[in-house]
Amino acid sequence: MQKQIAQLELTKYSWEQFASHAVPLIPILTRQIMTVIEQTEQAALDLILKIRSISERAQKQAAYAGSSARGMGPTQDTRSEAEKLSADVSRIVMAMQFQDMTKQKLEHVAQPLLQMKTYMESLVANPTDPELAKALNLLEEVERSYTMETERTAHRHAMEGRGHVGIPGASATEEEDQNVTLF
Amino acid sequence: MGQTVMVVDDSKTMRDMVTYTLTSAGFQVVQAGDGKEAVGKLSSGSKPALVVTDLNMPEMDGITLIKEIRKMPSLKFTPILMLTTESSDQKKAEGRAAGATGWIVKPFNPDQFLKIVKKVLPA
Repeated sequence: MQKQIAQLELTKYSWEQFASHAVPLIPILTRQIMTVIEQTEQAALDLILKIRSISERAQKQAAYAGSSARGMGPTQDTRSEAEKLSADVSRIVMAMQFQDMTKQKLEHVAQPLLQMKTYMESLVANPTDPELAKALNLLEEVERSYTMETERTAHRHAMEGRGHVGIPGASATEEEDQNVTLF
Repeated sequence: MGQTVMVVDDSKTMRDMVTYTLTSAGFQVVQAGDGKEAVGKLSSGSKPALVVTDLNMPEMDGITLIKEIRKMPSLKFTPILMLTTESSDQKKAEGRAAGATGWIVKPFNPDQFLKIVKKVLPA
């Protein structure tokens, strides 16, 4: 009996030690995640401003080059250059949306970490509370928080114990067509 | 002066990218950071020709915002486009039932986005 009590106390001590390290670590990790979000957001906003400025200047130059060359409106060459520029800007704007998507994915990681912290604090304070065992449903909650197919796929692969596999992407045009639904 | 579009998204980068895309094509843009702010602006007289809204936002989400807009007599038939990372059919069906006109999954292509905007706007 005494041996069992000693083992239980050791187990309790080990879990308390784990919680005492994990609980303060979680806000640090989530703060690091939020800092990454803030920094990438600022960088994306700076990029938008610069792209807008470059795009406007390039269009003005193309129009000026055309009118200087012919004494009138833009030539075929300058129109073609403007179209290429516009297509490039479109691709850049599309690629820059990674910031919002990354932000959402990181938030979906940070949120359950904070829930785990709250749970561990309650567990340490009152380990015999039977309600605690019912309270934690992290897997389902995490799964419900997903909005992107890539998140759901990564979750499924991890649950199936698969290593990291790249998620196949459609070609740009296919992807864009699949992205729009008009009701 | 171009038509006015209301852009609702809690991400400033997304709001700015959508705004950049629309203003480059001659539209005026009114921004809101979530559904609640959008409802506030719409209730105080803003009458956009189109609303583009995200789905998941603090305070009030996109589906609730659509339901609120559809209650406003002057905006009952205003086109509303969802612009979101959410791609599940279930959520799309919820959006449709609430009164959305269309659903665009991020990331959006500016050229394609403008085509859709012009398609749903009343002539």
